[in-house]
Amino acid sequence: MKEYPWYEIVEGDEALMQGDFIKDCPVVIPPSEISDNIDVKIINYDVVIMSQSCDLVQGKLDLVLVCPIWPLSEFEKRSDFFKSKKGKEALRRGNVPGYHLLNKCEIKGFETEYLVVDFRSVYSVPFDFLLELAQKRGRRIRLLPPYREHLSQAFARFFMRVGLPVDIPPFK
Amino acid sequence: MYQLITIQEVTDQDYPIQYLSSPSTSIIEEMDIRDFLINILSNLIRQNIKRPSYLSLISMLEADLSSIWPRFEVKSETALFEETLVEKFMENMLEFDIVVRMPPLREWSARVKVKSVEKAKPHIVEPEGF
Repeated sequence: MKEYPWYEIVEGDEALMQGDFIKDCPVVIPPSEISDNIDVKIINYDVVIMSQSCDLVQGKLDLVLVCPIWPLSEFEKRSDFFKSKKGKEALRRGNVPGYHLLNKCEIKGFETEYLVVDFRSVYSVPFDFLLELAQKRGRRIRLLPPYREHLSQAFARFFMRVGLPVDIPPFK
Repeated sequence: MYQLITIQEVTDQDYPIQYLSSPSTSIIEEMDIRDFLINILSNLIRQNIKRPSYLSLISMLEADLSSIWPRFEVKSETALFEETLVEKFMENMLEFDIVVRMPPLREWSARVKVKSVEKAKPHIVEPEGF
């Protein structure tokens, strides 16, 4: 049977692509008032690149979209829903719009457990900064097709939702 | 009279069931179906497989296994059956709008000297071949 691996490992200096994992990526949160000297909050996440690879390769982006990724166990600790079998199964089936489940990575030295991508926390990071950071972080995990496109589609499905102010009542 | 060997009498799973005489075709078909069902049930019990939710619908059906094409009929009211069916399948179609607020891996602050504040200009990416 042909194998369809979920991940590969790429060198730090390889071009950034959608589905690349960047460890410990800082995001700067500015204060509401900007003066000459300000205190900024910096939060770090392990992230996956959500911007399209073609836009990244062709240098059409100044800012790269990234979403935080979490081990599923972290979600289980914080949510009874995800702790339950029903919740995890709903996540696996793609029935929890804000989140996307990725498989375990079993590549030696890069092992992970099941991972959850959080679509509600989307950040944009300057392209040049991310490129430099990726080089500094060294070899990284890359999500492979068709799982990469599946992730992108799940993000699109989440983003394109429309909440109706007045919905049609359910049929009974 | 023929001697019937069913799966219950066979201890080795790979042992093929044989009929020592030649019963009629319809009897063989009936025995095959029965053995097939017994085999599935015994495997399920052995592997301790949990019944999927839709299997509960089976209890609402009346099964006639006398033919090679088993016939299933709804025991109770059709409306109730349909309702249960829809309910069971809706369970698999529901979306869960759950939010889990995750703290960042690390949070720290830094003092920044602002060099300049200027109004942003659009970064235009023209389509190719225009």
